[in-house]
Amino acid sequence: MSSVDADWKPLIVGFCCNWCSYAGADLAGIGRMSYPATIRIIRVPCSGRVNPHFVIRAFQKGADGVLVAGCHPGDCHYSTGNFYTRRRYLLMQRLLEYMGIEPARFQVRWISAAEGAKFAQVVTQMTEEIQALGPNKKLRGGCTCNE
Amino acid sequence: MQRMTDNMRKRAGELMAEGKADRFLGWEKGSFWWQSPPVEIKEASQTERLIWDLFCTANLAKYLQQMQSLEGKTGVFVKGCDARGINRLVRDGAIDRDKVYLVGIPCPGMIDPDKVRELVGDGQVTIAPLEDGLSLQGPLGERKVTLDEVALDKCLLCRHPEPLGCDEVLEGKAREPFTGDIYEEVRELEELGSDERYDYWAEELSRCIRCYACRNVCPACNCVKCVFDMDQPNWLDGATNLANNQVYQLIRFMHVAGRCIDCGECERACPMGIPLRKLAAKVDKDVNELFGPFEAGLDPEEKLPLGTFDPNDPDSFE
Repeated sequence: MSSVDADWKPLIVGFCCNWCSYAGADLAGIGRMSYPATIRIIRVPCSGRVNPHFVIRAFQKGADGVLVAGCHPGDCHYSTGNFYTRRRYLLMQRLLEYMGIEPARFQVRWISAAEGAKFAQVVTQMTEEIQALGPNKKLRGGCTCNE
Repeated sequence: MQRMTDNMRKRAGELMAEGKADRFLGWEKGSFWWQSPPVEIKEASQTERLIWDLFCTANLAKYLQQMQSLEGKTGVFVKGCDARGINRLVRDGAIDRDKVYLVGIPCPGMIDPDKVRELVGDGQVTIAPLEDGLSLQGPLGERKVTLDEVALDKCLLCRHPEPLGCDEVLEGKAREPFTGDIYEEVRELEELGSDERYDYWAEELSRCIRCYACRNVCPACNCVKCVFDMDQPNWLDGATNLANNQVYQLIRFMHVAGRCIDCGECERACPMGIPLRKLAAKVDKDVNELFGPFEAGLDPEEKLPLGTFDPNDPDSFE
C-alpha cells in the first residue's frame, strides 16, 4: 500500500444528521477551521435515516471511505433515532470487516452542533487513515448507466 | 422412520376429518433417493403421499406463508427448524397462528447427500436404518455409519431439534441438542487478515449467479416486495459481477440480522455451493456478543435485536 500516488486524495462520503453533525460541520466552516476537502456531505434528517444500503452503495460507486455522523446517543432530536443507528452500525461495521473491508474506511462518529472542531478533526483523521490505505478497490464496480 | 410415516398419514387423515385442518403440508418422496420435497395434501384420500425420512430437509415455513391467502386452516408437520421458522413468521405478522395447526416431529437430524456420495459413490443409493445407525448401499458397496457421520452440518450444530410451540407433537426421539461452540468456523475466518478475508469471500461470491434462491427459501426474508426486485429506485444493478454479488449478500444478511434461525436453507438451496451459513453465523455471533444472548424463532412474541435498543448498548463510535 506504500506505492500510492502522492497527489491522490481520498473521496469520503459523509452522512450527517440535520440537527447535530450537519450543524457541527457548519460551525467548522463558520469558525474558519481547516480540514481536508475530501468529504462530500449528504444531509439526512437523522442518522437513523441512513440505510446500510447507502453505505455499501457509496463504496460500490467509488467512495474510498464512508462516515456516518449523528447526535450523541441520548441527544437525538427524535429522542431515540441514533440508538437504533448505533445497533445497526455496530453490527454492520463488524460484517464489513468480516468481508475484508478495512475498518478505517467505514466510521461512525457522534458530533454535536457545538463540536465544529471535532468535525474538522474527524475528517482530518479519517482522511489521513484512508490516505495511508490508498484507493478503495473492494466492493467497487457494477453498472454505471444510471449514475 | 416407517412408524413415523404411518403416524403422520394417520394423524393428517384424522385432523382433516375432524375439521381441524383443511389441508396439510408435509413431505413426499421425490424422483431421486436424496429428495423429499414438500407436498400439499388437499384431501384425506391423498395422505398416503406423506413421508418421513432423513431427507425431509426443506423448511416448510416459507411454503406456509405463501398459503396464507387460502381459506381455512392449514395443518403443517414441523421439525425443530420448521417450527422456529414459523414462530419467526408469526412474530412478523406474515403468518396468522390461528389459521395454522402445527404437528411437531422430534427431529433426529437430516442427511447430507454429498456426504453419502463420498462414502458409497454417486449413483443409486439405498439407505436402511439399523439398530445403531444406517446401512448405505451404493455403487461403491455397502457402508455402515452412524447418522452423525452423514448428517448435515447445520443438524450437527442444532440446538433445538425438538419442535417448539406446536399444537401437538408426535411420539419420537429427537437428537441430542448441540451445546458446544456454534461459531467455530466464524472464529477461524476472523483470525485471518483483512485482505485474506476479502479474497476468501471474493472467491466464494464471484460464483454467485444471483438466482435469489437463498432469499426465496429463507424464513427470515419475508418482505412482500423485496428491495432487490425494485426498479424505482434501483438498489442493485442487474449484472452478476462480484461487486453486485457482494452488495447483495451484505445487504441480505443485514436484513436478516437477528432474525436468522440457522435452518441452513440458504446454503442448501444455493446451486453454487456458497458457504452462506458462515455469513449468517457471523451476524448471529455479533448480535449475541453486542446485544446480549438471543436466539431467533424461539418465541412468537420475541423482541428483535435491531428493532429495539438499550441506552447502555456498547459504543465504540466515540
